[in-house]
Amino acid sequence: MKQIDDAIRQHYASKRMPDATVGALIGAAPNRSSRWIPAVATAAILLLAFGLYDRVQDRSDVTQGILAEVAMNHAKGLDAEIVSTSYEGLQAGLSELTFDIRPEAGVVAQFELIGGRYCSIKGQLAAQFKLRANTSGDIHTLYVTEQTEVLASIAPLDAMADETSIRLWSDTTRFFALAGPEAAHPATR
Amino acid sequence: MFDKNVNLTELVQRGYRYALSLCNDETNAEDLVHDAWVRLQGRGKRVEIPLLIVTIRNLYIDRYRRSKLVVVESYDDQQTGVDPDRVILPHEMEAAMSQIRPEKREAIYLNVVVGYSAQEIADLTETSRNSILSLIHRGKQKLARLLSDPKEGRT
Repeated sequence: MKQIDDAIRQHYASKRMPDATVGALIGAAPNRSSRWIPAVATAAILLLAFGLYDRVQDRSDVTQGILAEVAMNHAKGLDAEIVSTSYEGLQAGLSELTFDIRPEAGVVAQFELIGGRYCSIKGQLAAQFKLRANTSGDIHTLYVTEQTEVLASIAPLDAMADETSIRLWSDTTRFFALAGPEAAHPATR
Repeated sequence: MFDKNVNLTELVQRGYRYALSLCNDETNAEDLVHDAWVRLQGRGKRVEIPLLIVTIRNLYIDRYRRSKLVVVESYDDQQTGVDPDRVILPHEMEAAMSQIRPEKREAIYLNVVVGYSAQEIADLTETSRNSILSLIHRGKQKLARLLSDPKEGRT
């Protein structure tokens, strides 16, 4: 059976989750090839020397990471684990969340709530809602998580990632991301 | 045996391979790992391989196994071996693995790839050690038959 065992090991050794997916999941950038490490380190040192790294590069990386994560989750179109047309019902169902999941009135008014599930943003527990736009009927995905120092550094933004239109914004205690078909977001602020 | 000091990327990849051993579908495996990771982080627990495996397993049972028909395989204990000189190609292995019941794939993966003993797998899956030994033995025999004669799985 050694031949079979070797074939089984080779079979699984060849299986890898895409690096971008892993990176998004653990809230870190995908692994880079080691031959780039010296160049990247040098560039980082130079940026630090000019005092720009923290203020520009980090924020940009975080934003790009979130956009990729949100677009990927939206594209999956996962079914809602808790089906509810009320945010109060979802709040009760997603009992591990310690923050208020109800978005601002503008969002509530413009979308029909279908249901929700747990997810993560930058490795932090979040809620993910499936919404249907009242005007177009398009399916959108709304994410909300507790505000953190890193998320608070991201300015409100409209962007495209993987053919998904994404809007990022915050209030005083929470961070939001809304993903949907291109140029289909109703006003949220 | 799993090393507890693996980095997070490798930890996720190991969880992914284990999820693949259960569902044999890349998209479903990614979803299982994603949801297991989120669930563990939501509980504020440090994610280590044994905990990740148990969480993935519980999610898999909740999500897939209960809703699927049980695959009935004919019991055939005849000894069959693969020609030792024969090279097993990746697509042949892929096809053969898809013909194996999830319980067998899981037991084989944990035993052959991870290095768990039959008793450790029995503890993890809450099954008897003898059942695990049988799953591993019969699973490998089935693989050997499928790889000797790829037409066998086409019924």
